Amino acid sequence: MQEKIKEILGELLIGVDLSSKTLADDGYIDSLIVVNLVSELDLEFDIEIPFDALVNENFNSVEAIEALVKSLQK
Amino acid sequence: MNITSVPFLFLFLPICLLFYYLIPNKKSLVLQNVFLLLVSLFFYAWGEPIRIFYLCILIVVNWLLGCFVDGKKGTKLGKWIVFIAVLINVGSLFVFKYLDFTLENIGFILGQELPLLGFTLPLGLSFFCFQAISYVVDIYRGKVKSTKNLLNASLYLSIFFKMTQGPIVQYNQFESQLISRKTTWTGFCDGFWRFAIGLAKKMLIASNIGYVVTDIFATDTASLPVVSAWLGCFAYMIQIFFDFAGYSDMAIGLGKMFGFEIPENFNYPYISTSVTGYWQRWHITLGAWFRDYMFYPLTLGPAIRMRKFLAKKKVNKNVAKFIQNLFVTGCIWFTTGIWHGATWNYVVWGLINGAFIIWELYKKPLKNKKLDSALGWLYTIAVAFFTKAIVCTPDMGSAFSYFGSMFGLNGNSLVSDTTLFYFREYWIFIVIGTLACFPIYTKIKEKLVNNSNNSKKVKTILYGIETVALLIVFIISIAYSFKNGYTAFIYQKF
Repeated sequence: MQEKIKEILGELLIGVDLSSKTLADDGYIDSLIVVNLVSELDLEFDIEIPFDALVNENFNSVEAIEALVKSLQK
Repeated sequence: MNITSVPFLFLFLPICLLFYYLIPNKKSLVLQNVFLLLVSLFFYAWGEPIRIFYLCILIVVNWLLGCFVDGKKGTKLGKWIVFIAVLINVGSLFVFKYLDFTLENIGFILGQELPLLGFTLPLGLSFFCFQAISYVVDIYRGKVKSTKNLLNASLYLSIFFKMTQGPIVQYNQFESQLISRKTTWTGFCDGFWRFAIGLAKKMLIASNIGYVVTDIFATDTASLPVVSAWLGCFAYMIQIFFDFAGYSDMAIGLGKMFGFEIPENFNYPYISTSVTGYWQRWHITLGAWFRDYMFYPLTLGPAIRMRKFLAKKKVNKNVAKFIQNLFVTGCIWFTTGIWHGATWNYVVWGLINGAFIIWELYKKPLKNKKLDSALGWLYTIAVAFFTKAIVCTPDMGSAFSYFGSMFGLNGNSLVSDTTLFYFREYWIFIVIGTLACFPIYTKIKEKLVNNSNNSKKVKTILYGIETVALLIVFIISIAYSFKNGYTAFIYQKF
C-alpha cells in the first residue's frame, strides 16, 4: 500500500521529498493537492474519506496517509 | 463608523475600553458580552441606521437554524437546514450585491434594458454571510455545539472589529472565547501596538498612495502615458495590500485589547514564489473559508463522483484528473472573483488566478532551486501586477485599452507632467510602501539578535527604538486621520 501511495503522491508533488513528516504542515499538500489525492485514494483503495479526516495530521507523511486509508478500510 | 475616523479613535474606542474594563471580567463575562453586543450594534447603526434591522433578523434566523441543526449531522433534515441557511445568506447577498448585475446581463441577452433596482450593499454583508454560514455548518458538522444563548451567537456575528471587513473568523475558532477569555495588560499593550501599526499602514501608506491610484484610473485609459499606466498597477498593488492588511492589523489589535484572539489574515504575500503560495498568504481567512465550506464539500461530493464516472467511462486518467481540477478550481475562482465584485472584470480576474493555480499543479520545477524560486517570484509578481489593471477598470474593454496604454499601443505618450507630479509628490510613500511589503526589518532584527553576544540587550534596545518609532508613527497617523477625515477601505465595498 505504501508503494502505491508513494506513486500517487509522486505524481502530485513533483520534486518534493516524500520522506518528509510535515508534507501538509509545510504547505506541499494544499487544498488542490488534497482534491487530487482524495480522489486517487478513493478510486485506488475503494474508500470514502469523510470531511472530518481532511486535517493536516492525516496528510503529513506517507505513513499517516497509509494509516488513514487502513482505518477507513476497516 | 470607520475605525480610522476621529469619532471612533477619540470617542467610541476610549469609552468602550473604559466601560469594558470597569466590568469585572471574572464575575461578569456575560455583562461584558452584553456590553460588546450593544456597542457593536451602535457601531453598525452609525453607518447603517435602517438596515441594522435586517441584520438583526439575519442574526436571529441563523441562530435559530443553528439550534435546529444541532445533533443532526448526516441526517436529511440536517442537510435541509444547512441548505436553508446557505439559501438565506447567499440569497441576501444575491439581492443586495448581484441582482442588478444579473438584471443587466439578462437585459443584454434579451437585447433590451431591464429596470435596475439600485440596492446598495449593506456594510459588511459579504463578510457577515460567510460567517453566518460557518456558524450553521460548524454546528451541523458537530465541530461545535449550538449556543442556546442568542447573545453569544449575536456577538459572534456582529462584534464590531471584525464585522465590516473580517478577518472571517469561523465559529469553531470563536466559540470558546465567548465563554471564557482573559484580558491582560500585556495583551492590551500588544493589541494597542498592533492597532497602531494597522492605522499607520492605512493612513500613511494606503490612503496617500490611493490618491495616485484614484487619479490614474479616473483618467481616460487610451490617453494614459505609458509610465502612468505602469505606475497605476504598481501603486494599486501597494495600496490594496496596506489598506486591507492595515485593517486586519487593526481588527486583530482591537480583538486583543478586548481579550479576543483573531486569526492572522496576511503573511507577506508579495514574497510568494507561486500564485498558489500568494493566495495562501493573502486574505488567509477567506481562503480558509473557501477551503472548508466550498472546496472540500465540492471535492468529497461532485468532484469524486465525477472522477468515478469518468473512470467508468474509461476516460484517460490524466484527462479525468484535468477535468476534475478544472471543475473545482473553476467553481472556487469564479466564486472568489464574483465575491470581490459584481462585474465581469472580477470574474475574469478570478478565473485567471485559477488558471495559473491549475498550471502550477502540472509545472515541473527547475533543477536549480534558486533560479526556480527567482523566476517563480517574478512570475507571481507579474500576475499580481497585470491583473490589477483588470480589477481597477470598469469593464473588459477599458482593461484592454489600459493594457494597450501600458505598452504604448494607443499612440499615447511615454510620460506626462502629471506622471512626474505623482513621483515628485508621492515617491516617499511609494518607496516606503514597496520596502515594507517585504520582511526586511524582521530579517535584520533576527540577524542582529542572533549575531550578538548579548541578545537580551540587543532585544531591549530594539524594543525601545520600536516603541519610540511606533509612537511617532501613531501620532502622525492620527494627524492624518484629522486631515483626511473619512477614508473608506477598499474591502469595505467587497
